[in-house]
Amino acid sequence: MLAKRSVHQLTKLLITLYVVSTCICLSAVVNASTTTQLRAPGWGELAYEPPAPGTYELPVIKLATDGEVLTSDSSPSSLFDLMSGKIVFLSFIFTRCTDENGCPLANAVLYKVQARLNQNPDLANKVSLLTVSFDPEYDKPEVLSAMKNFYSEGSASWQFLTTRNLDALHPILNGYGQYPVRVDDHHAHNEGVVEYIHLLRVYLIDLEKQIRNIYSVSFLHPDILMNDLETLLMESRTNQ
Amino acid sequence: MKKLIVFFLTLSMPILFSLPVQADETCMSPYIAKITGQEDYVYVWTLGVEGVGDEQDKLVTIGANPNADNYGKIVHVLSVGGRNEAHHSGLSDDRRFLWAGGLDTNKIFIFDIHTDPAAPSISKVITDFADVTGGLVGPHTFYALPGRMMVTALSNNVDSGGRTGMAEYNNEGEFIATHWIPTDEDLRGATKSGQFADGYGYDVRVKADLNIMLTSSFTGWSNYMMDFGAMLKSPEAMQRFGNTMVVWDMHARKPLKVLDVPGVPLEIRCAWDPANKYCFTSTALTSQIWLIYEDDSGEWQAKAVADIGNPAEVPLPVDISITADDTGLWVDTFLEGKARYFDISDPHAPKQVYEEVIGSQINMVSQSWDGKRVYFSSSLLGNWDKTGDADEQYVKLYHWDGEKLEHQWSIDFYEHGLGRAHQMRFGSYAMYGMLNPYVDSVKTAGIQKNKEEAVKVQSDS
Repeated sequence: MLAKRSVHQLTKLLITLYVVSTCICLSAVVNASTTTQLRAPGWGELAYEPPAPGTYELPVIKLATDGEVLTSDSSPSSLFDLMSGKIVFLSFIFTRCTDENGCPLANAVLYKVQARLNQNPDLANKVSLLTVSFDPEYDKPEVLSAMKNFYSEGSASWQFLTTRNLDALHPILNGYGQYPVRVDDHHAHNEGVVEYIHLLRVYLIDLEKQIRNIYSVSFLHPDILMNDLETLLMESRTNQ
Repeated sequence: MKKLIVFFLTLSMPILFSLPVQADETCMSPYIAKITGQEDYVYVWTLGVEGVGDEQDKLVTIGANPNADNYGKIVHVLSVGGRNEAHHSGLSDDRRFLWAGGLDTNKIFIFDIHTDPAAPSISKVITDFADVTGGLVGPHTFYALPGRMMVTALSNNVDSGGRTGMAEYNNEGEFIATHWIPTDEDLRGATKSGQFADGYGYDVRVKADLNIMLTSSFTGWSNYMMDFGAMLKSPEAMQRFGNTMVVWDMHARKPLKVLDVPGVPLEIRCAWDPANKYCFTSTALTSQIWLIYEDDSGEWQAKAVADIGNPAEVPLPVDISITADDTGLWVDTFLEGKARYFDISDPHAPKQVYEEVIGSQINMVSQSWDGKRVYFSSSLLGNWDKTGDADEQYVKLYHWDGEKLEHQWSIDFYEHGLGRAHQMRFGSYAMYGMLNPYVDSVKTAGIQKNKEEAVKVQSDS
């Protein structure tokens, strides 16, 4: 059923689920004097034609960072083990995030990428999607298992990961330059809710575990991700 | 204290991952976390002067929160151990670090402003800029990209002229790539649309919603380090100024089109609304506002749309600042010491609606997101600033009510033994989940008196 569901429907369902379960809506607390929030390009069509694959370079930004993680079936693993032999799209989220231009955007864009990968099994075999939670206290493996069941489908690999605790998480966050600020529990916007503020970033990591692009809200779009992926694959074919 | 922080954040709710439209703040990179409420500090990258204080370049931190007991006061001075022709600075996308360059020594100082926003520290100094970039000289604009910093240069180490490019670094300060500005000899795939393809550089801005990057052009080391009066008298030197802007494919980092913008186009300010497909610049020597825009056929064009003062008197436009709603543009003119406000509701026909003399000389302008607070500083370049009594060095805060500026406070940078005040950047505690400890209500463990003054942050356009 999921495979037939549009991303828009999926998102609406997700938001509904979040509102029911946590009753938080970050957009609602934006000061009334501010302009209505725009939807990120990743939700729709790009306003421009992105450069064609192979017509540009993606210079190495820096090395990726390893770290101990737990898979959604509670198995201990490492990021590098999960990246091995694959080109990787890596995102950081927390499952209770409801800002439509935050974590749900990252999930929706990767969902669209997954759908395109599933149309090309050979390509899907070369790619791994990894989503890491920075809320290990809530995002236990069973929570992420539900996320995986909801999002992951077809032959493309999409793993939802957490860490044993914050001590295991922090070296990973430092390595990727992610510094979420926690807005705590019973004093948060809605009682009993933990919220995080953070810069949304998704990372493209090559076969040598080097970061080749870092996407933010304004250009996190499946067309761009797929072109960058193809660019890296063309580069690796040239280098062989 | 923990409860206090939580309460504050709940009121202010920084939205770090939301879309654009809120942002100096109005002139910052669209990829950067922004302060849309009250700033706590202004960081001033300051050029050291012989005979003034310790004579070194320094980062000066000024209290900017009117509810704090350090409001309008110098709260911290961090000297960097010499003079480098301190000029521009820029915040990283996560606003944890402030990058600042020296046009003469090519050093880049990366300051940690998040550990203690009231007392920045030096995190790293890049000393091999020319070597690793393949010969770029004069690091100028620091423009945040996601996890990276784009650094424009003004010159090169071969002829010290204006031929130059941009260097991309990661947030750790490690070099990634150089992007040279196209020239007649090497257009790098770009289309030359007019007379010029000079290869000069100065500022950079991105219209992220259109995947467009723009660069402007100034002059090389041999001119910007020259005595201003002597340069004006040298016909040869006066030939060595930029006359171009370049439209780039942002994602590919490839130049698409070289536009003629004669007369030294300096600062670039782009409209925030995605529906407004244009940016502005001002030309220093011809004293005009230029519009760089996408026409109805999707082609990028440039045209002069307004005079700034009397161009025949060469008032020398310097910094400009666009308002968050794309309806106003501040324009400073160095030689007049004047700030002008243009109504740009019709970007093709800006109209000046206000002017005020700020000092004997003026360069930079930084406004808050809501446009109500406008900061001005004085220094242009060490060898270009006025001399004698006209060499005022200051940072001044004015309030803007939409019709007139009202002076709030001034800090005399010579009186305090600091030097020449240049670029101003804002800092806030809320960006890091902290409260301003110098606010009375925080010190007494009370709550914020005024919810409207809580800091709101937002990122990414």
